[in-house]
Amino acid sequence: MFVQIAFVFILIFALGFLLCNAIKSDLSLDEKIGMAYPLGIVFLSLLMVLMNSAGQKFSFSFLVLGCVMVNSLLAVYLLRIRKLGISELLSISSFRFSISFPNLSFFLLLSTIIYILYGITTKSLYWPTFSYDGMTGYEQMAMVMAAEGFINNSIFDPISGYATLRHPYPPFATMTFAIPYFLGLGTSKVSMAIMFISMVVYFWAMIKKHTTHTLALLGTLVIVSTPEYVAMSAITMTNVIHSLFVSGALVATFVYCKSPTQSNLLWASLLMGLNLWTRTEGVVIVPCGCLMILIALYRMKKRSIKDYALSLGWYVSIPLAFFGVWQFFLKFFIKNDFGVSGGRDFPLTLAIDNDRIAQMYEHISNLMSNSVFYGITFLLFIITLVVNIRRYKSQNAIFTYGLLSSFIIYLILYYQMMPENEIRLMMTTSFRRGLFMLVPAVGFYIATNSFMKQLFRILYTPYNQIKAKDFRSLFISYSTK
Amino acid sequence: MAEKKSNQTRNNRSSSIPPINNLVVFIIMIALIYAISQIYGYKWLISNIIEDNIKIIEKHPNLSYEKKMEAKLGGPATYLLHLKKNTPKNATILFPPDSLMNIENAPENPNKWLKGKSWTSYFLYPRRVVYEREKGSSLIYDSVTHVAIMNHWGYNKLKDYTVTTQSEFNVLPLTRAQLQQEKSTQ
Repeated sequence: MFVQIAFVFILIFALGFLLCNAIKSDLSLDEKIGMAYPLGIVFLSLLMVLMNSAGQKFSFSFLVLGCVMVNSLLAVYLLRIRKLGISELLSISSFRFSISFPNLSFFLLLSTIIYILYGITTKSLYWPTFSYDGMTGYEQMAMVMAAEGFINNSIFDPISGYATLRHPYPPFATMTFAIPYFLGLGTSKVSMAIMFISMVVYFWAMIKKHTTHTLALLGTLVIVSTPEYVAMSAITMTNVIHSLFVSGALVATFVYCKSPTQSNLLWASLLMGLNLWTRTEGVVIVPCGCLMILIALYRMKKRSIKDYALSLGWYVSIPLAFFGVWQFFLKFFIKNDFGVSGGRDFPLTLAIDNDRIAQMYEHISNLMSNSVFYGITFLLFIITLVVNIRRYKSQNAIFTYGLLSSFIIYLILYYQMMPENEIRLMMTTSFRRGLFMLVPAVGFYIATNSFMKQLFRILYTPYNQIKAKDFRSLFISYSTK
Repeated sequence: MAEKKSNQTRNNRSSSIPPINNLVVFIIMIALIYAISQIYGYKWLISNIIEDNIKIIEKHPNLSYEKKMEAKLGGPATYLLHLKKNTPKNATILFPPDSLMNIENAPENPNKWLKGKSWTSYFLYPRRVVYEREKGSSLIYDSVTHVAIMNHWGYNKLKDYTVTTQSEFNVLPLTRAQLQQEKSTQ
């Protein structure tokens, strides 16, 4: 039994790993390792939607068969047609890990991260799902989906059904939770644990590309020690999983802004699309990515409308496709209209309501001052933002604009959508958890901003070589010196 | 090219950390990690979420699924798992009116959640659940096969037989024929 289960997880991992190579072979090895399991799940969720649309049941056999077939096809495509060698598939050429021994801080940070990951994974694997939202939503949907082989299953049956707003969520998270049920396990936790570890590896890899190994670990530690974010990773909720694609998309968009190649654009657009394949509310992040691209193109002195249209057109195409496919599926394949009409309306007119603003401000202050929710993660973000304020024209500031606009637009979303009598409930539940999607992006910013990089440069410079201008350069960019 | 160069510079720099800097940064890091771990939220994460759970896991490494659910959700979970164990997969189970759906000394939320079909269905799937409050409105009310006995409610719903020893919580088939059939298959 154990061998069979391990084999299927390896198949899914291999599928995602090969997909990473097919989509963007220049990712580093640790980025591919981090993104392999999530991309394997993405493929399976798409396959299930496709098969269900054709009236076909998705079963364990199809899961294994699909993985084996696509793995074989991808291997042939990559090795024969793209002519990638094993070293390129594994990104061995780009893999460089040179950390001086013994860099004591590096090992301290690494062991702290491993301790937290060990603790939270052990907890996650030990306890079955007991969160209300999981039991009456995502986990339940995963369980029934695996038993019946259909997304449009008996939960949505108008006669005996008990569908809630949590059931018709886009299928990525549900498929993550459903894999263990397809394998005959009684709880989804093992898949959630693999997903969380994959996420941490991907965040570490993504931060490491933009800073030193030690700072990358510091950024990763900020992420994995954000109290409620980590606690939530051990229960069946979608917010932590969502953060992989939201933060991943913001960083990938930033990479595209710095290096506008077709493959970077495709990767950024794909991650933005997968954000919508996890939670529909992620649609509000798409304009923030567009804003980053607009600023980057403007700074590159692109004056032709065609340049803007092409970049933005490609960028929004994949998110729109994912969004469209899911809305189409909800409309035509879910047995009742619950999934489509159950959502809240979004008023398009923005009206100033001082009372509502005051209430939201009060709740946000409470959330920020209670260290159980986000610890000091957002406080650190504000501090690093302030100390980098004079670098607002630098290229790195584009990421700051993306992150800040994501916060603002998320606030506007709640400001517009919350019914008057539910402000308290929504601010302390869904809004609070919703902000998790930006935690990894904040960790990335904390570790990669110019102030921190310069601070660590000073900390590791022989003390007799440190000059006064080194301290001045903490606050001003090199170009303006 | 420029990126490669900066990586090389970075690597060169990291490979030549002066020992005194190495030590000073290490001490700063320890102090920072210690200070931050004293903030309430991080204390909560380390002691409540990680350490307490590790202690429980070490103490009860082989706890059954039922016991774990009972530990987290109390009596309501135990009761629902009892219903699952004692009814066939194709059963339709009738639940009492909301006012009687209460398990004494059970945690507040799970007790409240018993009144919601999506929560009870999580435990009982693929069995179907119908509530007494749905009488007249639910199309499956008439196809009930089992009655969930809670706080002595439900004995009067049994169609053609009576039970001499009436326990406070139980689950029973609606008809004598079903009762005999289930007894014979056990």
